[in-house]
Amino acid sequence: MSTDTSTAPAPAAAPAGPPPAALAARLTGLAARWSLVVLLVAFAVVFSLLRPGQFDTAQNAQTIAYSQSVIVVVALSALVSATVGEIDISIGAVMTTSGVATAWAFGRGWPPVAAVGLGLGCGLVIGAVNALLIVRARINSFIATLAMTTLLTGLALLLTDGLTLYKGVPQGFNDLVAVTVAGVPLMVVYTAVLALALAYLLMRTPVGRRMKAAGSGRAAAELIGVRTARYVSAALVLGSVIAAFGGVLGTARLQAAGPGGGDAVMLSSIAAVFLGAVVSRRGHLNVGGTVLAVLTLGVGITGLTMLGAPAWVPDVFNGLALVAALLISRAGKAATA
Amino acid sequence: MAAALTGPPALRVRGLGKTFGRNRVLSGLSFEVRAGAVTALLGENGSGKSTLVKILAGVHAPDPGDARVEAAGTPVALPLTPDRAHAAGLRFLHQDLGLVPELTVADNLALADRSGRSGLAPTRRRDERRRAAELLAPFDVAADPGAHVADLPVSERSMVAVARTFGDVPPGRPPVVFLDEPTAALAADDVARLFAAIRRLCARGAAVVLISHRLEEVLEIADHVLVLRDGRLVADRPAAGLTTATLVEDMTGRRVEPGRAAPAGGGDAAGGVPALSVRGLRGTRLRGVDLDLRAGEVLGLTGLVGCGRSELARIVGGAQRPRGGSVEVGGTAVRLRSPADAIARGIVGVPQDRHAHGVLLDLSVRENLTLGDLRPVTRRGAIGRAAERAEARALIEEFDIRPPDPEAALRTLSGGNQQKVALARAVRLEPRVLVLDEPSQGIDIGAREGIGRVVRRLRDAGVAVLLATSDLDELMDLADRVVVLDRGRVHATLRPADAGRDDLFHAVTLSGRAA
Repeated sequence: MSTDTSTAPAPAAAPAGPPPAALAARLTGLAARWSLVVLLVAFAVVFSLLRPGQFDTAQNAQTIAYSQSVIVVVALSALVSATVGEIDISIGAVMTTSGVATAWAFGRGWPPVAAVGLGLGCGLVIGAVNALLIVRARINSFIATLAMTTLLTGLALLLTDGLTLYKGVPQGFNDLVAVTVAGVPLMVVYTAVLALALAYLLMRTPVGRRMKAAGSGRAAAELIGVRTARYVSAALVLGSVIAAFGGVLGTARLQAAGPGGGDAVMLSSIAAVFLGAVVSRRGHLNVGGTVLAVLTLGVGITGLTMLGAPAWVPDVFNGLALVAALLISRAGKAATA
Repeated sequence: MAAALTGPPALRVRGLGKTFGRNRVLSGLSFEVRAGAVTALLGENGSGKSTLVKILAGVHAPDPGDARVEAAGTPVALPLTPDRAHAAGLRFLHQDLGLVPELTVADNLALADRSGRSGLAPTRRRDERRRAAELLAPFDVAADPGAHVADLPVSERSMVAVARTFGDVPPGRPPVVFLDEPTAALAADDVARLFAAIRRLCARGAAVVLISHRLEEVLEIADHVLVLRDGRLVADRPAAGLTTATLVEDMTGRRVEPGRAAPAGGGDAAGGVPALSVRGLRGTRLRGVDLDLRAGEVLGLTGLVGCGRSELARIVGGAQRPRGGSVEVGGTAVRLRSPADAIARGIVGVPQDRHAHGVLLDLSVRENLTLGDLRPVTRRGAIGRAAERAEARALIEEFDIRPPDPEAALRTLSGGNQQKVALARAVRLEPRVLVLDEPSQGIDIGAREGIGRVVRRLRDAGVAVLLATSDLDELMDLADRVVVLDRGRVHATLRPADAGRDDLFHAVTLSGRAA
């Protein structure tokens, strides 16, 4: 024991509970985690008050869920690649290309299974090429998928000649997503099933754990024994197939497919993935938060549109929401660090 | 340098406290740092050293209250910010020295200049070179200001970094320089040069605060010693007359026996097929190395910086491909394309750079512990939460990981506890060969002892351990045999139990001079 302590340490007055600073920090963290839910409820209440009989109807809720489903699917695709630490910006173009390919196949008289197969197959092939570029050739994912986006945009123009393809897409194909079961369109059912399956994969299975590890620290995960190249590739391919599925759903919904629109969906999808991290205590990416973020943004924009907001408003709204989310999640992280 | 201790206090701290959540990490800290002297700041990991330094650097805010900080008699506004700390003359030098290797010496010195010139004002290369030369002159730096830092030897780099702390201090007001583990990456002669630079700093009136785990070095250079334990100051005394034993006692609050390893029962007496052999191994540094490692043996691997010991550890662990030669496990040549391949062969490594390679900072302790092999906790395709938590709890207890919370984010653990996690997850894989690369770097004595216990227990259980380290005490303590590498070749093999520390020291230092 040391006795020669010329500076006597003052005994600390042990506080009974957490000190006020820590309490404030915990409240900030809590507020950040619930901010999306609060925002969603606030939107619902405000728009219902401003547009009674129009916004607050079951019909409108159904419409929002139906129209947001494709974005939810593409956002889930972005979530898978973001989980392994890569940003795949080609998901919007994959969605468009797959949707167009499906419509093109119908136009040539392919049977529905083959048409859908072609659409999903596009996702598979594109995902595999992305994985080769990113994992094998070690090109930065942002740059590699930017190149892929440009390439696919050109291909979609080639397939469509710049027009919307609708010939030969049967009504029955639309029924596959539009028919409601107990008031819920099948499209929403598919999306929900996909979300649950992904949540299970990412949170409960060894595959999901290894993907998360590869995204959290590639070198360390590799040294701990995770074959990271395998899991990063798998995530890029899976993400691309999911984006393609979103494209097929979109074609079914519209009974047609055009060569544009992918960029906007890609931007809101990636925004939603990072917005969704706010609901996690440690700021981790997650399925629930991603879905919640898409819905919150969707409700906000639907409401603003009903109020007669001009065309520039949705983009500005999306951008501001993302910046706000990033700020909130930083504040939340700083508070819990 | 006792006379220097009567000078004015360069830094005075009164009543400083810090609480993280419910956790009080510093309480009522009061001390002074004298100009012209080296004050050592000691304490085990988790004692609050880093927190104290981070508060002074403006990274963390101290608890609100009546804490006071004065620099050279002038009160400093709390909480400190990096700019306020800089303005008050506080300078912080981390292990990595904070130099940009791609830039020249002069550029690096100019980078640190916060003297308020507009960031858009044109830089005049000649002026910068002249200023750099002026700064470097008192420190006996041979390097030309126009040389790129990447081309300098490590010792020159540390000189440049030390000189930089004088960069833009007001005339007549020398800085208070905090050196955090400055010798961790240095070979013995470089340490001597760094210490010479530190003495020059003091001679020019700077106050130096040295944070180090190497107690012999501390006693060599420090004038005064501050020891923290559990966030309190437990010793504040002149260094003269102190021994490492008293310092260790202060740091741990108990007597520590330097547990000397019992002479090896195994060693090369054991014969039979080695658990691991390398033959003619070549890499970027290695130039043909042969080694045999037997079950139940700890084989130390050492040598000066650049000798290739880390590279050998990486190759054996599957993290790097050799340029030639072979690795044999149980007598069969194997190709190790990845760490996962090595693990499949029973070779598990704990890498050197803990933060970048050893652990996943954003994941929980539980996730880190089980990631290497998830099969035992997987039930019908899904990770069984209860099973996983139970395994994590058992490992936390076995390896004394603190806090004992499987859900704690790894980032929040101290360095020593992070290393325990890295070791625990490796041992969980039940290796036949365990490869440890600098396992005790930057961790405290308690954690070090814990790692030593684990290594001995594994050896007694028949595991072959390859211990790559530059720490001679660690080798004396743990290794049955030591292989000294010199520039990619085996220079000497000796048994610490017969040879003793001095011979080992000579083998290592002479290796640098061998033709």
